[in-house]
Amino acid sequence: MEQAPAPTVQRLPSWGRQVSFFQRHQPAFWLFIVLLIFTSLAVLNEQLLYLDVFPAGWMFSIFLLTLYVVPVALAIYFLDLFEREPLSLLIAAFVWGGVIAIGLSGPTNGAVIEILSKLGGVRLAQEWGAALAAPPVEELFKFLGMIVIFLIARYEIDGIFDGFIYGAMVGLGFAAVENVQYFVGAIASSGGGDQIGPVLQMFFLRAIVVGAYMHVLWSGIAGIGLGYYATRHDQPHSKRLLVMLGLFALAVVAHFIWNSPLLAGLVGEGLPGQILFGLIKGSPFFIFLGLMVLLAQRREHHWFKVATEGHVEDDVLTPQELAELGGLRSRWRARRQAGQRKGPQGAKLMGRLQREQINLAMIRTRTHSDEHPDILAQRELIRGVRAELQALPDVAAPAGGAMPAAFQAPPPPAAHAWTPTHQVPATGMAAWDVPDPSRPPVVTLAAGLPLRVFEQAGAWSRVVASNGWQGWVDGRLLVPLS
Amino acid sequence: MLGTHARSLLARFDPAGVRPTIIVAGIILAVFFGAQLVNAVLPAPRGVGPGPQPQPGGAVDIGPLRISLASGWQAIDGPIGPRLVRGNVAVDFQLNSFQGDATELYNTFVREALAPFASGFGATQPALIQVGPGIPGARGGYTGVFGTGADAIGQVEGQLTAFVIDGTGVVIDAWGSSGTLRPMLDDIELMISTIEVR
Repeated sequence: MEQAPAPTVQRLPSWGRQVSFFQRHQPAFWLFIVLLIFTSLAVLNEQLLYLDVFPAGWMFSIFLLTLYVVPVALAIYFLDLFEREPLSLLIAAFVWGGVIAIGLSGPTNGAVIEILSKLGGVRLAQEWGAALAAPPVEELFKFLGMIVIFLIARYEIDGIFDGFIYGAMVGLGFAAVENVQYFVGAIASSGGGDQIGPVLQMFFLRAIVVGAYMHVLWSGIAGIGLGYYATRHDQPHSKRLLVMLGLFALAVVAHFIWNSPLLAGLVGEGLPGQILFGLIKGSPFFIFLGLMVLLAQRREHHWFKVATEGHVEDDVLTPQELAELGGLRSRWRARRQAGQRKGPQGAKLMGRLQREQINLAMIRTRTHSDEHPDILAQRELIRGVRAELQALPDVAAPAGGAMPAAFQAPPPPAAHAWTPTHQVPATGMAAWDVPDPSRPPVVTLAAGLPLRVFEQAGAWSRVVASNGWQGWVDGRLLVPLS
Repeated sequence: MLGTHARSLLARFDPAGVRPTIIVAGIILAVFFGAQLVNAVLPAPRGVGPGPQPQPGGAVDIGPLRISLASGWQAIDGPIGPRLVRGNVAVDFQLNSFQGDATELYNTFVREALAPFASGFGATQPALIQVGPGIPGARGGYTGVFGTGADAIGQVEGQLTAFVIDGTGVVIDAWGSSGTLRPMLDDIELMISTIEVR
């Protein structure tokens, strides 16, 4: 007899539990606040000094960094395909990197370089100080920030990918404020007073040419380690710890290689030299992180499939939609296609349909049952959105010629002219997207819902609701309004 | 009483979060203050000769100037005159007779004492400041690669402060390798702004 495969228990993440940064009962929240107060004074003082000495250069630096930070932050945010992290926590991670980690790292780096100078000589400190001091110090303070975020809202890091998201945001904050230091340093070094030319050059170098290889990359690697430790409870504790510490060490090594004078003489000056510098010293780690992110994304997609598997192949989530939700581009393509078929409102409704389908998975991870009332309500919501989408008239004739006039939908009634002519009977009633009884109804309308009939086809009535939704119903059941 | 208060305060926190938060805070404190402590207790590099003798209160006299040393700074005899050091950041003092104002002194020093000895040299236009008891001064930054061969110092960032008192031009040249000067600038500017003229 063939033995049935042993059932596997699918452990799902806690996507349905969302918390903000403001967790006053968590001691880590107060540690964050105290450190923020302590370090923000020094960071603010430094920025005010820059503003005082090089006002135009400093303001231009901030402008350029906005151009860098906003797209990178959005990219990090949108890489998270399913459970997007709460904005307050992402901002907190950014602030930790840009204020707390920077504020703690500056004096510590200085002290460590001095210690190197005393123990190994000035030459060692000059040549290797940046490589030996900054990587362990800065990576440690950034990594501790990720741990603090985890302690504040530990249910929010519910996958390896989330570790990457928070790590990358901490790194982005650090890079932003550190870049201001470099930009202002470039102005001072240029010898031409307060000017924006050196800022532009340094921006091109640090944000465009080698921006992908630095703090976001290093902290992202360390964040994946934390994500692994925090969520892979199916693995032995020693292994989780080893992976976390190993990836943290890898981040330190990547930073060390970047800062070290090694290979500095091999690459030439100018743009080609800088590009080569980035490729040699940064791209191996960048590729590694890319692979890790890809695997983590696949894992999240798998969870999404598991969470929604009881709802596929019906009118809640089709297999095609499930596949489309697995990637940003496929989502956008589906919205674009809906827009081409149904106009801008169609694209908007397709976006909403996708959001509600993802929300179904969020709720499912919280309720642990496909029959929970919240799940059933969400399914109804999805059906309603789908009905709205399907009820929208097509905006273009199919390829091959104009649609015969007899089959063209009449122009929808203007919204401002909507006045109800009928209402749904007390028992409620089914509605269809097309007048075809062989197809399943798309939605059940609530009793008493006011409707306006604007087309008749035999016993079928085409109705429109006050919110613009349209559909076909059995006109004989409608209750006329006097 | 205090213990009871502390316990009631702790009771408001998530008990699962207390221990790890204490550990994280401990690591931050240990690394941050530990580095400062180790640096403070380590002796200065050998080979440094005795410099201007510190006065009571941690001040040193250099010519007519009395400089209050910030924490961690040492006065030594540098190769071209008195020098204050902390780690591999140095502040050199050069006093020579000079006829002109602070901006002229700054520009002269940049043109004659720095630029010829560096490659890739650049200096900012000086900004007007006040030194110590209202002495008009000029201050700016510079960078460049100094020295060649075995004497190479490498990429240096510096800040120059120049002022003139009674026909004596004073140039204070604070410098260090790239990235090392900036964390020390607050100390350096504080020491210069509190200079006393004897």
